[in-house]
Amino acid sequence: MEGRPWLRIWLILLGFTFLGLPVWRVTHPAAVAPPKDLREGTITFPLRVEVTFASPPTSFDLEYLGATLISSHAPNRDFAIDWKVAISKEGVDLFLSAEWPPGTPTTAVRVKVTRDGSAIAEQTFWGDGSLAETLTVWEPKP
Amino acid sequence: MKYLAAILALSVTSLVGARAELTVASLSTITTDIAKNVGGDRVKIIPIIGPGVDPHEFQPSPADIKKIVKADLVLITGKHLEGYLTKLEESAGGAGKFVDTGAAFPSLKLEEDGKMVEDPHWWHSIDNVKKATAVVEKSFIDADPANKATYEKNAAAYLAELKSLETWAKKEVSTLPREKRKLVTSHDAFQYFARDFGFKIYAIEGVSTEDEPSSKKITDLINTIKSEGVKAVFFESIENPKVVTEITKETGAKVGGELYADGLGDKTAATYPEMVKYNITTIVDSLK
Ligand SMILES: [Zn+2]
Repeated sequence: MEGRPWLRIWLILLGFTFLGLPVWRVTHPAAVAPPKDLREGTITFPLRVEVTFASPPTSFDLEYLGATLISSHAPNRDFAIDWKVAISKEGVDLFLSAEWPPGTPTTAVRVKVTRDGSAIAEQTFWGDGSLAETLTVWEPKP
Repeated sequence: MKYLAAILALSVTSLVGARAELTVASLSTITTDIAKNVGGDRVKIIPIIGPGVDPHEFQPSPADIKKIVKADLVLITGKHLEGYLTKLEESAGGAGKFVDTGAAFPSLKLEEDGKMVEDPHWWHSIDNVKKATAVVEKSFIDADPANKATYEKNAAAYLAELKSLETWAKKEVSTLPREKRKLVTSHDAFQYFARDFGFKIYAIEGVSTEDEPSSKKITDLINTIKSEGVKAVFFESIENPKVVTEITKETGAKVGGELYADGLGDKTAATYPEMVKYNITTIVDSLK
């Protein structure tokens, strides 16, 4: 060993590499993928969605990007849900669909999206036996 | 004898009732589909423009004009898509039997060579097709009141089909984030679709397929595709996909597939609901 200084240097370097790599990893963490809905240029907002039916539907679904937020087969008039969503400058779409018993005359549905109690999107839709509509929610103004 | 005459009259009526009463010429594959659905077996449809024919460049042949002259009604797209209409009306002995299906709803206006023109591609809005169906229904009833009940029943069934198509379309598009609804197409045919479903259109050519894009327009489009992060570029069933392929090479965007922009196809999009489903599935799947 003593006669081979280059071997000693090499072993020291090897030791540093093994010890140093985990230290380097801690000080240089790999980029962590952002949460799925945290898209570039978007801010997440805690919102509340309220849906009020003039005439109770036999079924009602509320969806965002194909995922169900509310699904009901009970004849209720009022629905509400807390919803956290990342909103881009292009806005986000809520898709609602409902069906009424046969023979129900044209009826109204009110959808209201609020942030801290103030409405940021609100619209009345009209259903004629069934309904499929989209409500666009824009980024709330500060 | 009286009894025999009554039986004879009855059988003649039932024979007449079963066969087509109206002859309808159609200048678009979309109006042909509407007419087939509303008319059923009471209408003989003469499609002047078939699947895969470019309606922007179409000119009726003498044989087409002969068929149009013989028809009881002629269905047109309107909004100036049929540039030959005035001459055709003159050849057919007047505008009386021409049914403008596109007149039932307002036009989108687009800038073309510095002037505003009507966008004729109204069938990419399902709501417009519902209104056009009502126009066709009324024209059939006016021309053939004896079959009013049949036309009403057929139109109601087709409108119900369009309503469920609209539900499907809204649900399907809602699965695509709004910031991804950017559509690069061969020519500017999807503005009604964009209005209804929240898309932004970047077209290589103008409203008509006859327009040639300048090299500056293509360069600008390439820059836009890069800066907007557009994932896919679409070509059309009728158009040459060469420019689209070049743009995808330059930008790294993929070829999203083929869209039916100017009418129905003969296989995957042989009916209007099939065309809508094909286009929307292609768009949503490629841009997700
Ligand atoms: Zn076109």
